[in-house]
This record gives sequence, structure tokens and C-alpha cells, in this order.
Amino acid sequence: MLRNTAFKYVFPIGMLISIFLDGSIFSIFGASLSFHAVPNLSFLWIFLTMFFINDDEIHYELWAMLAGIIIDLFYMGFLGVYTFIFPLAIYFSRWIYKHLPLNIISAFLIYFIDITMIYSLSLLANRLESLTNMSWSFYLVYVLGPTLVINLAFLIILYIPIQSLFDKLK
Amino acid sequence: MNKFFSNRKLVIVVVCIILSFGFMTFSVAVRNNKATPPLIQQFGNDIAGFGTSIIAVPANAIHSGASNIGELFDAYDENQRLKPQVQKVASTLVRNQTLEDENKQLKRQLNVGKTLTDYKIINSAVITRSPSAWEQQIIINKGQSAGVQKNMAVLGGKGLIGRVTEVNKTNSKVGLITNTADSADRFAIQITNKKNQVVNGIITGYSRQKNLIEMGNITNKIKLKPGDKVSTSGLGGVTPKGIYVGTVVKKSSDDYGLSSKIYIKPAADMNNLQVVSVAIRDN
Repeated sequence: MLRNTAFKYVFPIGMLISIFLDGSIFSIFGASLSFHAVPNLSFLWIFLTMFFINDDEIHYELWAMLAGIIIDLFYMGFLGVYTFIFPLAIYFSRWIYKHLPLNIISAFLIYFIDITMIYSLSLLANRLESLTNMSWSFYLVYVLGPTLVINLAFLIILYIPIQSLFDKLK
Repeated sequence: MNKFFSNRKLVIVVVCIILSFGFMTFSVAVRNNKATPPLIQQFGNDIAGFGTSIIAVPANAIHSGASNIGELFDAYDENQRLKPQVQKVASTLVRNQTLEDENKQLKRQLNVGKTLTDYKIINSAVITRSPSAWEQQIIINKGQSAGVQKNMAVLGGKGLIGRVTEVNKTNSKVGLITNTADSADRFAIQITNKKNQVVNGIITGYSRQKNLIEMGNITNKIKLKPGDKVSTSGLGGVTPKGIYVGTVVKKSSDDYGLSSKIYIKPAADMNNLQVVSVAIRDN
């Protein structure tokens, strides 16, 4: 699945670290205002890996599903939301990515759509299962807006470091 | 869109949607009905908890370092303000101690044994928080092995913050009172006004925009004023009596005008929790 030896270790370890960082960052900075800026480094890591190492041999959808299962069980306490939304988002970005040039603008654009998709679908699922009563208007103003801002900022900050990391590993 | 949704892929999408809701419904049912999650999930969560504490320790250290520097600037003002209160606190503590002793003696004389107000606490650190805007959950580093059980009340900072929703061997999840799941347990609370009249009720919701807890379906006519103290009533379940919840902010009638709704400002700050205590009722 992952042929390159250095990459074989860096990718899964990076995925675990980014999953755990999500919770730590959110617990320290994310909830300090009435805005809910939810960081999603775990998806960013898989997304940028897919973006820089476009290898059809690597099943990114399966890795995304693994990350989704960990997030669902450890953070949310029930299975089935991110388990399916993460692979869907990765699949979608892979599909759209073939039609766009490889640069930071297209990464920004695809990531914008991905984050919107991930959180909207996840709220939809949570509302259908009556796990929350958050209204769509509250979501758009206090959750989606700040979440997009923080995640796109992370994308811009981490784009070049991760690119050079993968260039070294190649 | 023809390529994106070919016939075979459409089938896969539909199957995934069905599986997703199947998994969700099943695992939420397990979470609500079982005292502990399945063993495999506990095992995974324990390992993840260990992993996250490796990340959380340096992150929390940086955070507390930064906030210490911030607090340094306010220290002088606070010191001036708090000095007069320190004397008062000491005398209140002594009086508290005396009253507690007397209470114990009287209870022994009357043979009442343990009452609803007796509880022990388990202190634990918050290792992480669910990165989600609607799933208001924190994860603490004490689990079954420390004696934590599902549905126990959790205190943090100045008052009640929520209850234990899932227990693993070495960590557990705490659902905050700002969580608004339909299946969330409601806390039985009581409001005492200045004349010592008591209004009993339960927490029925949370208003996100105002950051206030709602206590609905109140039909009695006892007058309540802003600032009246709210605490748990200890009725029903495993929550002890007398845990501070917050203060009354305002009273308004509900949507149909039949009963009234009371807005309560929670005492604990749900967004900055580092150490919490799990309350175990003592009977």
C-alpha cells in the first residue's frame, strides 16, 4: 500500500499526531469565544498528502476512513459520521483535482469545498439522528464561518512546509 | 456529473448512506443503554487516550505558560480586590467546619445515616476535547479503574459542568450541560430565593446565542429574582444534592404562555476546563 519506506512511517504517524492535535488545539484555543472554530488537521494531512503524492497505489479513501473511525470512536463516542464523510471528501477532491492545475490556489479552492462539505454533512447526520438541535442559521454564522477561516489559515501556513517535507521524502 | 455519479457509484453511495445511519443508530443506542462501551472500543479509546496525553501534556504546558503571563498583568489589581475577602473566607471556612461537624453529630443522633448531600470527589485532568461544535464533550484521564461510573455528575471550576457519558478503563467522556442531544440526561435542579422558598425543576435546554441554561415547564408562582442561586436537588439518579449550578438571569413565559421558563447563567466556564472532579454519591 505504501511502498516508499520513509513515507510508510511518516504518513501514519503524521495522521495520528494530527488527530490528537485537533482535540488539543480545540480544547485550548477553539472554544474560548462564542464562535466555534473547529480545527481539522487530520483531514488537512490526508488532503495534502493526496495533493502532493498523487499515487493511485495508495488508497487514500481507506486511510481517510481509518482516520474517520478513530475520530468517531475516540472523540464523538459513536460510529458512522466521519467514517463515511472523510472518504467521500477525499474521493471528491481526487476527482476534481484531475481537472485543476497543482498549485496553492486550487488546493485552497478544493479544501474550501471539502471543509464545507464535511461539516454540513456531519451536522445533517447529527440533526437527523437528533443528536443536536443546532439550527442551520447558527451553524452558518458561528460554526462554518470561523471553521473555514481557521482551517484555510492552517492550509496556507502548512502548505509549503508539508510540500518540502514530501519533496525530501520522494 | 455523469462521470461522478455513474450507476455503480450511485449504488455504493446509497449503501454507504444506509450503513452510516445504521452504524450511528446502533452505536448511539449502545451508548445510551449500556454502562460501558464494547470491549474493543474501550481498548481503542484507552490507547487513543494514551496517545493524546503525549500530545496534550506539552500543549497544555504551553497554554498554561501563556495564561500565566497574562494573569501576571492582572495580579496587582486582583490582589487589592481580594485582600479584604480573604479574612471573610477564613471565618466562613471555620464556621463551615463547625456546622459540618454539628450536622454529622445530629445525623448520628437521629440515625438518618447518609443523605443526598454526602458525596466524595475524584479529581482528574482534562486531556482533550471533542473537536466539534455541537458534540460538547471533554475527555478526562480517570476511568473505571479509578471508580468512575456512567452518569455521575462532574464539577469543574465553580460548579456543575456535566455528566459522565462513557467510561473506559483509563479515561472517560464527559458530556457538558451545553450539549443538546435529545437523549441527554436532564439534571434535577432547584432554585432557592431570598425567602428560602424552593422551586424544583430540571434543566430542559441550552440557549447557544446567550450562553444560558434553560429550566422550563415551571408552573408555580414563587417569585424569583435575578441572582437567586441554583443548585442540584439530588432527586432522581446519582447526582448528589447541593452542587452549585449557577444564578438566575431572567424569567420569561414559554412559547405557549402556559408555563414559565427560567434562564440560568452557568457558574463554571465550559470553555476553559483543565481540572474537573467527578462526584460520587455516598450512599
